[in-house]
Amino acid sequence: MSRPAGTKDVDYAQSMAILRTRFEWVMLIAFLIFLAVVPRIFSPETVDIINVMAIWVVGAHGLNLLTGYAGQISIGHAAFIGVGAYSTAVLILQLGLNHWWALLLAPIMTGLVGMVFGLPSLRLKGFYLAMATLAAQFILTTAFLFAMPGIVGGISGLTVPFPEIGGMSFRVPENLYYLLMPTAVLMTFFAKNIARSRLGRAFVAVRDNDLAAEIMGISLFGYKLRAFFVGCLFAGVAGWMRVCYDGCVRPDIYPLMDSIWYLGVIIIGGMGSTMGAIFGAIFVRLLHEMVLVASPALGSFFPPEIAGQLGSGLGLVVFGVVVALFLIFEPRGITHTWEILKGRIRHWPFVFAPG
Amino acid sequence: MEVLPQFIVSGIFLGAVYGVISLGYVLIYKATHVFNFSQGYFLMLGVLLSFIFMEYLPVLIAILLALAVGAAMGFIIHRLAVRPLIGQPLISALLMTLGLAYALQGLAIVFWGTKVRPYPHWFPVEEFDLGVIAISSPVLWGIVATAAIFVAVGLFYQRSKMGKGMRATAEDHQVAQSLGIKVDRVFTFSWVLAALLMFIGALFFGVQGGAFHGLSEWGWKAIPAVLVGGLDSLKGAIVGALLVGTLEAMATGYLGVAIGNIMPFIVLLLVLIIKPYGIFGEVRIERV
Repeated sequence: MSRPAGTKDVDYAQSMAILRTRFEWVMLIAFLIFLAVVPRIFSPETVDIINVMAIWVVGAHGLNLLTGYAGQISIGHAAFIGVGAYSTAVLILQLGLNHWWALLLAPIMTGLVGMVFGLPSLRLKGFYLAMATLAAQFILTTAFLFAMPGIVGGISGLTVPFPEIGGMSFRVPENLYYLLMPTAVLMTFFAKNIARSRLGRAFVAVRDNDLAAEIMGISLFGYKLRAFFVGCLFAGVAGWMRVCYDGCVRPDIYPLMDSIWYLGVIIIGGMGSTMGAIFGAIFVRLLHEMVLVASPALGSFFPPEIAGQLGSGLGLVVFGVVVALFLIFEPRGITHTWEILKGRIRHWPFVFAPG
Repeated sequence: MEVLPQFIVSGIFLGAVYGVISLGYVLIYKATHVFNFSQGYFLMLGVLLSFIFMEYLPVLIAILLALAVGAAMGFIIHRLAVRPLIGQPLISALLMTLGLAYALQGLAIVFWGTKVRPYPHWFPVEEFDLGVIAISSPVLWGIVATAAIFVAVGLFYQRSKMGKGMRATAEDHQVAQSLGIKVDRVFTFSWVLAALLMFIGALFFGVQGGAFHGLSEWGWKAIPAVLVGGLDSLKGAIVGALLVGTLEAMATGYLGVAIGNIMPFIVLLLVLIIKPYGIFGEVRIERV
């Protein structure tokens, strides 16, 4: 958070604010205006991609709070998003609630499920806790498939109607954008505020040194459970967004692979930073789209029997390689590069190493 | 009740598969404190590569070539991907091996595809009818090979100089280093050995399952096995694997495939809650 020389906080309010200078405000407002007109500028296909990014940003915020801030590694995030989606679908179809009540209730239900799987954190930490969340991934996705097929729909899942406001349906990407993007912006705001308030600071204390945190009066178990609740709350919102986007829930669209992608997102973006979740989600989705575009082109170099499956295989290879490269060369993620870049621009033409 | 022995036999075979994979997990974890998620993917690659080699080369040469490739893979992966992460937090190594796992899976899909092919029968395949149960020779061979692998690795670990070095390294990296053990070399050797074991196992397990890219699923299910036994115990690896394998086979037989498939993970969750360090694992006293 280095700022130009001479720019100082003059009162406590400014010192506590997220945006402390006029320039930051201008940039934020310009960015929000840009977001508001995105569907007017870009083609529906592009807007569709941005919609998916919005969902991933919210999901990544959840995992970032849980893993990046509180240090509790979760390899079951996609399954928790699935719980959010399934809660939404069941609330809408079986209990007859509308989408807005579902947006309120489904994340809370997801948070509670997350707390159940966070219970082992009473005795476990680090790697062993990660294994508990891995078990959650397998058990939950199997539960979607086999538990109470009358209510959750079994293998074919459930078809959920698209949300509507006053006759305007959110079926087409341009309209859906105005539902998903404000949600993502709002959740980003919440995530930032959680991270910098008492809760987030307690998370960081637990992550950095749990013994020291406990001695300072932070209830370890309490805050770990809260981390699971908050992380899964965000997952629940992401699940609700998935339902609005997909128009259905199916047991196979919340795979282990996605959980690992989410971990990749926060590593690539930079763990323990709200901006990181956003950067990571955008980067990873762009990567995904690039692979989709590139694989037919590359397919012409391969024999035809291989060309067909090139896309799915190549996606996995690219993911593995990119994550490996980030871990080796930039473990602090894109956020770190971004901070350096900002510092360079600010100090230009002098070369200062920003703090 | 005459199906019960049959379930137990298939359970023991599954246990043998999980046991070999668990052994790989344990070897790497003990030495380097890294949990290698790509272990099951090594096994899958072992099956596919040895299949391809056997197609074009005489069996013996194909096997030797596959083993050489396996060892080389362990070496390269450790040197290029895992060693640079020394000193980074736990999640980095975790995610690195996860990323590796998916990269290997992707390579398999790109070059092999999603088809299932019967693995070549490089040893005689027949059915033994023992009255109560019928055992096919791939199952028997798989179990015998696993037993042999465990005895060999156990002896190596107890008797050889390198094995003793590995045990010392598992105890404490710094102490081992100061006693003149080349810890770095132990790390690399553990990776090579673990990869090699997967390729040896692949030669025996491929016949039963057929060769396809989904064999890596075994690697995920071996995770409960290794945790039940204890993450840093060779003995625990085989005991946990047999336990989980048998339970899975029984659950599949009596309660259906759905329960059977997640049985290992239900066991995993229970173990994590009741006895997190497993049956034979070293208990680290640590308030959480």
